Formats: sequence, structure tokens, C-alpha cells
Amino acid sequence: MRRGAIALLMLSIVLVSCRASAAQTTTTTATPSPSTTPVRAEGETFPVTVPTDRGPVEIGTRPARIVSLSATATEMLYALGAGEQVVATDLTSNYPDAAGTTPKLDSFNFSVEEVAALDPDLVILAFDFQGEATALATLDIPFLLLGPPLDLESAFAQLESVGLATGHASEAEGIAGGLAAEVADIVRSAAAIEGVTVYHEVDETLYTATSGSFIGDLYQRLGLVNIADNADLGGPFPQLSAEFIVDQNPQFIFLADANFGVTVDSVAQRPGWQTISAVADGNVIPLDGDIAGRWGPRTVELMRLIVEAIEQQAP
Amino acid sequence: MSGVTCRGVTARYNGVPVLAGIDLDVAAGEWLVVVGPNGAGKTTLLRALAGVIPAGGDIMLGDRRLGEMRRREVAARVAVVPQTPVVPDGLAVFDYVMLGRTPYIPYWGMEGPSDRDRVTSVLARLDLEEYSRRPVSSLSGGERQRAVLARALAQDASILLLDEPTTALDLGHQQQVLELVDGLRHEVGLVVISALHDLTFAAQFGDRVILLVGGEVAAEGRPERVLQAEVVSQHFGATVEVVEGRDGPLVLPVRR
Amino acid sequence: MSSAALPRIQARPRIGPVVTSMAVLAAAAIGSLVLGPAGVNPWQAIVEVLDHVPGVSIDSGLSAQEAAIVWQIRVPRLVLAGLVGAALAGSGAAYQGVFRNPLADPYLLGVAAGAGLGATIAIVSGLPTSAIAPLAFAGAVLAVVAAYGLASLGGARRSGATLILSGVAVAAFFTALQTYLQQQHADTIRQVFSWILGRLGTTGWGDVRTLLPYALVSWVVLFAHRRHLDVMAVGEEEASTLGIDPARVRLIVVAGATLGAAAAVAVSGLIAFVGIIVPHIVRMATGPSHRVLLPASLAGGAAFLMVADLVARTVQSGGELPIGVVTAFVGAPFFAFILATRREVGA
Repeated sequence: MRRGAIALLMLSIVLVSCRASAAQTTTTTATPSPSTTPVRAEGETFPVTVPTDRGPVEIGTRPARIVSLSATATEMLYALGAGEQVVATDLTSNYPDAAGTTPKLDSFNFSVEEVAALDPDLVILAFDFQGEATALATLDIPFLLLGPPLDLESAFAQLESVGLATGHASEAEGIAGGLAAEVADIVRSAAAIEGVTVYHEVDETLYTATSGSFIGDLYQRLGLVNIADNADLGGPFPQLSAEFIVDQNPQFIFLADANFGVTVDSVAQRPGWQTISAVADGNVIPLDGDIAGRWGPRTVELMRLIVEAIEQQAP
Repeated sequence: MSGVTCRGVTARYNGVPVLAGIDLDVAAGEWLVVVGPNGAGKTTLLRALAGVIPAGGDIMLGDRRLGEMRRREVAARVAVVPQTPVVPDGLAVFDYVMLGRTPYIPYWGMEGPSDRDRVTSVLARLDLEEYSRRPVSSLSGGERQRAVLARALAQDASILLLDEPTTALDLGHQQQVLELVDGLRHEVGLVVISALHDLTFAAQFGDRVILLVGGEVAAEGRPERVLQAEVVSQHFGATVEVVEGRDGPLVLPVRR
Repeated sequence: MSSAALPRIQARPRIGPVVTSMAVLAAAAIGSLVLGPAGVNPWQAIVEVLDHVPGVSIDSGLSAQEAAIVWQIRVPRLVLAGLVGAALAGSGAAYQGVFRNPLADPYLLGVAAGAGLGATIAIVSGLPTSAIAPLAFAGAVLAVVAAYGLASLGGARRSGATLILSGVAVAAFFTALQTYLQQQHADTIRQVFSWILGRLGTTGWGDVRTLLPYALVSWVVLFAHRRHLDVMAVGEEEASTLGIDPARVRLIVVAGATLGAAAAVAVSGLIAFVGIIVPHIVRMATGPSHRVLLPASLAGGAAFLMVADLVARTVQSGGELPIGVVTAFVGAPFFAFILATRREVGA
């Protein structure tokens, strides 16, 4: 019996120490739960526990060597004033200008060795398609997986997570609050354009975003009707047929693929599209793909742009 | 048109010499049988005569040299009955025999009424009319061999090459095919050169026999001269008794 | 030999299957015209098309959008589907005839791998989308030329089997190059993949105009060699003794068939199975003669792809399946069917 008790004791010691080091758990929650409020440390003291897509992550000390492999996270970091703590960003991180001067990594061809060579104390990622999480965990490099959120609240929660993790929790709270207020203003002013039909184009091959996606959520908040919701398709980014789009006859078309050579003219030249109200009335609006494809602080600019574009045409 | 003449014909396969200088003379209406042990080069010789493989030396088909003729011209002079003919699935006998008219159909054209008449008459001659719409693959061994022969005849060639035409046929059909060829060559004055492994058939049907061994002519002449017991024993390693028959010697295998 | 006039045995040209395939094609075309996610009234759709016949003027009563859908989206699309299907099926029939293999397809000598590489180069180089088709075409043709070149390196006579093997080698190499490029430019993977899966795009009549001349040239060459393909059916050696030059016929037929297949692939991506399935099924009805097999395959291929495209754009309301997925769904059961019904050919 005594041998059993000792074994049990040793087992519990092992388990406890394992738990402590297994800060990066493998829960497969796709969305951060908004109900998990970040643990507020007064005066930004560490350690903190930060909610991420993979569950709560503990950050021991204030990171001074941050690697950002997510363009959105980069925007958030600089907005929070954490720019000086950033040592490298990925190739898609082109905003703000300061981010362009940091050393660059290719997030599409992830190399854990390249990351490790920078000796980071925090890595922020948006995707884990190449085994990044496992690789970083193996090398004991702390990371935050903050992927595309499904709505605005989740995006704000991410901003607060980044703030908390980098010792800028109060700035994050302030910025998030300010953004929320701006959003409320914009939504109020959008009452006049309620019910307008839109088609949001992600890609030249007619991929779109439904209300189940982040960008779709924005349209929905503004009271706009997204034709993608009328198609009986699964997933937040389905591919539509040209016939369907023409038949739906949207009043406005927003081009998130304008950075890839899709212009107002090229859209008008698509066969049959000239009969669509949006094309006939000149309501095809190119969007900056760098803003439309991210969920950082500039998202509010996007919302404002959308509303203004529609209001200009309103009778 | 006179027959076939060869002088010093050589052929190689993968660099290995298979025919080492063959001389031949076959006149119109004559039947030359090529015999020899396996690997002696019988099939190679026939393929060289048909122009299917490159060969050294001089081959004259009638009054033209083989190397100077285009394929269509060769096909109009030499018809080949291969040992194992390829039979496309589902092809009707009529269409199969029509393939024999290929040398006469213009490159960009289709077969004409004269071609169809020729095929019809050939089918009648070989008693295949009732099968003309049936797939060749549905015919029995003997009938199928007649169909291949019909195709060769439809080529209206003056030279007929047959590579082991009796393979896979039962005795009755073997005789039938050989009698048929014999009759045809007298009717039309064909030059017939065939490879046969059965020495008695070779002796009965051939006007002359040539014995190929190791790519060379080991003996040549009338059947009774070539197919003698000692010769057969020496080159085939077989024990035979040669008996005189009505139409030629009978080569009979006997036990040692 | 009887010298009396024998009743001439007429070669029955068996036009029955050709007529049938044309009828199927017409039905497929009408179906593609009137069906679709936009729920346009079938009769009105037909009237709308008639309205475009020169000299005819009828108001179909369709709204501007519906009329645009019928005439500017559906009609060019079904015409393109027909052309691509016919080109692939015709090339497939020709390849099957010239290589004497009922499972040959027009991608055998590397057309698919070459086109994929060309398209990948265009996409990862950031060239405009109009550059994809010409580069894919060039890649496809280059692959076949390379296969021929490789086959003749051996010095041995260029037999059909040697050519197929070198085609496999070329395809493997080009695919490896393509994979490498894709990996180096991983952000374009979705675009490349989407092209590869095949899509009868909605660029209106542009793709039709691009494909048409190549397809026509290809079909003229193939039709002119129908008889030669029949002769090739007895194998190279026998065909040679019958008076044709098998290597030359093979070169011309492969060139003609590749032209059509490369152009079809350049315009619509890698649509699989059409080149194998359609000639195979048609052959079961028409028999082996290429005089009937070829035209029936063209019509059958056109009809098949029209129907497949119809499925691709209607099965998911509002969205589209890549057409390569639809043909693959048909392809798998097809091969199972072939295995199940294979007759042992007698000796």
C-alpha cells in the first residue's frame, strides 16, 4: 500500500509540473470565447493569462522580442504602442510604415528555425496550416494563435489580448472602447441605408463572404443585405455562380480583390453583368484588400468607407 | 511480273546478326518453303522480304528493288499472313478484309465500289460470304485463318508471304488452308514463300525447300533433296524416317 | 472462281449511333439553356435565343437580367462546354486508336502536366489572367514535343510503347516542377488549384473564339485520318505490311489530337475523364470503326460536358462545383462498371 501511495504522489507531482509547462494546450476551439475576460493585472504586471484560439496562454514576463506573423496582429501591436518590442514581422505586414522596416519572414513558408534564430519571447500567428503551433511548442517558444474572428466583438477581444500580452492592457482597453464608440456612431448613421443589397467579392472567381464571416458581419451590422446569404451554401466563403449574382441584381458591389487587378471596368465587361444595378448605376466600389482582409483597428475605416459610398448614391 | 530475288540479305536484332547473307530465287507460281529449327531466322527472313525490318543486301520484288519502293508500292506487291494476326475487337469480316485494299485507296480518300467488289469476290472465293457481317473474333480458328488469307488476297499482290499459317489449327484445317493457298497460287500465279515447321507439309506443298540454320542457308533445293533423314537429324536433332509419298517425301518422326 | 456478278455486299455505314449522339447533344444543349440557378422560364429562354437569330425579332418577356443570363452567360457557356467536351473526347478517341489502348486519354503524353506547369508559371509570375491560357497551351505542346524527343533518344524505333513511357517521364518531371513552383509561392496555391480543377468560365464568347480555330484544325486532321486509324488497329507491323507508315500516322494523329486537347485545357483547365469515358462508351455502341466512332465521340463529348456543367452549376443553389469534381464523380463508377463488364477476349 505504501508503495502505491508513493507512486500516486510521484504521479501527481509529475502531472502538476506537466500542467505548468503545457501552457499551450491543444483545445481545438476555433473561436475565442468572449466570456473569458482577460485577467487584468494592475500596472501591467506579469505574469498574465491571455485568451487565444487555443485557450488561455500564460505569459511570464513582458515580451521584448515579439515576432508577428500576422498582418492584423502587426497593426494591432503598433496601434498599441508596442512597436518597439517588435523584432520581426512577416511579408504581408505592410502597415504601418514602421513595420516595413523590420526584418521580414515568409509566413507562407514557415520555418521554425528562422523564427528561433531571432530569439523571440513571443510569436503571434493568425493561421496554423503548416504545423507552426507544434513546431513552436516543441522549442518552447511562447505564441498566441489569433485567427480570423467571426464578429467585431471577437476582434476587439483579440486587440485586448494582444495588449495584455505585451504590457499595454490599458491602452488596449482605451482603443477598444474608442473603436466601439465609433462603430456605434457609424451604425446609427447607417439607418438611412438599411436594406440595400450588396455583393462582396473576395476573388475574381466569384468567391464571396456570407454573414457568417467577419466582413459579412460588418455588412450585417450596417443593416445591409448580403446576397451571399441567399445562396444555400455552407461555409463563410462560398463560391457563387455568375448567373446567381446577375439574378440577385445587387445595388452595390464591393471588390476586395481590387489589389489583384480587378477593376470597375473589368467587372462591367463580364458577360451579363452590365444589367446588374450596381454596374449600371456605377456603384462598383474597389476596397483596399489590405484592410478588407484584416480585422485590425482600421476595420472601422472600412465601415465608414462602405457607408459613405452608399450614402453618396442614396436619393 | 517475275518473282523474288535475294542476294546477300543480312539482318540484325539488337545488334546481333540474325541473317547472315541469304540468297534466294523464287519464280512466279513457285512455292518456296522455309524450314529450320527455332531461332534460325525464318520469321526474320519473311519480315525482311516484306520490308518491315531494315535489312542489308539486295532484295528484288519483281523488277523493283525493295529499298527503292514506298510502303504503298510494297504493299501492292507483297501480302503477308502473319503468324498471330491481331484481330480488333468487334471488327466485321468484311471490314477486316477491306483493310487489304489499303494500298489502293488514296491517302485522303475512302474505299470505292471497285474495292467493295474485290472484297466481295475474295470472300466468295474463300467461302466466307456468310460470315461477312460477323466479327472476326467470333470465327473459329480455321475460318479466321481464311479471313486473314482473304485480306492478303484482297491486296492483289503477286507475292504471298505466310509465317507458320498452320499454327493453332487442327489437322483438317491445316490441310484446308494449305490446299487453298496451293490452288490460289496456281490460279493467279503467285509467288508463295512460307515458313513451316511441319516438315511433311513442307515437302508435300513446297516446290523447293530452303533450310535455314543459324541465319544461313544450310541446304536448298527440291524437298526430297533437302529433307533427308541425315540432314534433318543433323540440324534438328530429331530422329526421322523419310518415306516417299505420292506428292513428295513424308518425314516421319520415329522413336530412337 | 465464279465470274458471274455477285451481289455487292454493301458496307453499312452505321449512321444510327451518330444520329443518336446528335439527338443527345441537342437535348443536352436545350437542357443547359433552360436550367440553372436563376430559375428562368424555359419557354421564355428559348424564345430569347430565337430572338437573336438574324431576321427574327420576338420579345421573350424576360427582364434585362434574365435575358442577360440566358444569352450572355448560359449560351456562351454551353457552347464552350460543347467545344471543350468534343475536343477532349475526339482527342481521346484518336489517342485510343493510335495507341490501340481503350484506356488512353488525351493527357497520356504529358498534356495535362505541361498545361498545369504553364498555368502555374503564369499565376506565380503575377501575370494577368489573360496570360494563363497561352502559357498553358505552350506547356502542353512542349510536353508532347519533349515526349517525342525523349522517345527518339533511345535510338530504337519509336514504338507506341516507348512513346507512352517517355510521356510518363515527361509528365512526372513537369509535375515536379509545378509542385516546386507552387511551394515557393504558396500564396497562389488556391488560384492554381482552382485552375487545375477545371472551370468553364464566364468570360463570354472570348474562350469560345480562342478555342474554336484549334478545335477545328484538330478535327479536320483527325477526320482525314479515320481510315488510317482503322488500319492501325491491327498493330504497327501488320499496318506496315498493308501499306501505311505507322510512325508517320501516329505523329500526325498525335499532333492533331494534342492541338485540340491542349487548346481545350488551356481554356478550361484540367477536366478529367471526358477523354477516356466518352470514346469508350461510344465505342460500345458504334463498334471500333473510327469513321463512326470519331463523329459520335465529338457529339457525345459535347453532350457529356454540357450535362456535367449543368450539374456543376445547379446542384449547389447559387454556387458552383468545379467541373473536374463532377466528371470525377462520374469517372469513378465508370471504371468500376468497366471492370465489372469486362469480357475475356478469346485467343
